[in-house]
Amino acid sequence: MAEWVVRCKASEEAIAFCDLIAEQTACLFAVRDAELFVLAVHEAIVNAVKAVRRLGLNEGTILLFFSITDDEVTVAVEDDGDGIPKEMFKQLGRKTLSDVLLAESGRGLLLIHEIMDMTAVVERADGRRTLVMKMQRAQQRPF
Amino acid sequence: MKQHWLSFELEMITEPAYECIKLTGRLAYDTQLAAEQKLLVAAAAVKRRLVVIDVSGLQFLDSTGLAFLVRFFKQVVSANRAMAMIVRDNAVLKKILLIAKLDRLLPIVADEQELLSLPPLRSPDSIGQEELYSAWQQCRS
Repeated sequence: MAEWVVRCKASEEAIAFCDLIAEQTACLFAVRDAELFVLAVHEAIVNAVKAVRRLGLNEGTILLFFSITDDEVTVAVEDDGDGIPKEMFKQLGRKTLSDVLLAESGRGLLLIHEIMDMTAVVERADGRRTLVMKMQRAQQRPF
Repeated sequence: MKQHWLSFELEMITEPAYECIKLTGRLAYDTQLAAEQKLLVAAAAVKRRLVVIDVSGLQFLDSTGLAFLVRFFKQVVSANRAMAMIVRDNAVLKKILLIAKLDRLLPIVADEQELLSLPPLRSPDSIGQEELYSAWQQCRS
């Protein structure tokens, strides 16, 4: 088992950096679908950066947490902003990507939900929400 | 899907039967300003009835990029034109487009040959989106 946490300032640079970490994690720990895993983590990070910006926090940070077991990779994303709006997450079970076919926003969380094997929002003691998602690891692994 | 090249490029090629718009690089949140500007210019410059977006050169596409493609599609269709997408051997891009259900809006084909072999494209100058899409659906089933 392995775990690590990355905390960085919510910025474009953080998005690129977290993409890179997700890419390396997907490759090294052989997740079921590496490219889609990277996309899901990217979407979560973009959501977090947007949440920080919504509150106008110039020094706001995002936190990316990885946990690897023999079977799966768990990723959690937190931000200093208001996280994923509760109403948006509540819609997940009911709304699909078909419902936003012609929409010009609102696909990010739906993509994550579609791509990952498990998606959940954990409410923290301070009322903020952490997005948690899991993807199975592939049978064929480099190690 | 290598994605460290933080740029987005667009090239427009006018073919006898259609306008081809080739996208390369990242079409994502971090390239949205460049993408918005370039796609706006491209939408205004389209002259042919049929518009083909070649996304095979995209190294990364996220939900922001998908939204740009949908917006561009709506602009094309509202101008009475028809649009299709070409993916070639970019399997990851194709997978993302299918997950986002864009195949419910427009044809997503491997290459120009597949597109031009669709029955209504024998007269691409008068093609409409509905006609193009239904021809593609028939060929798929």
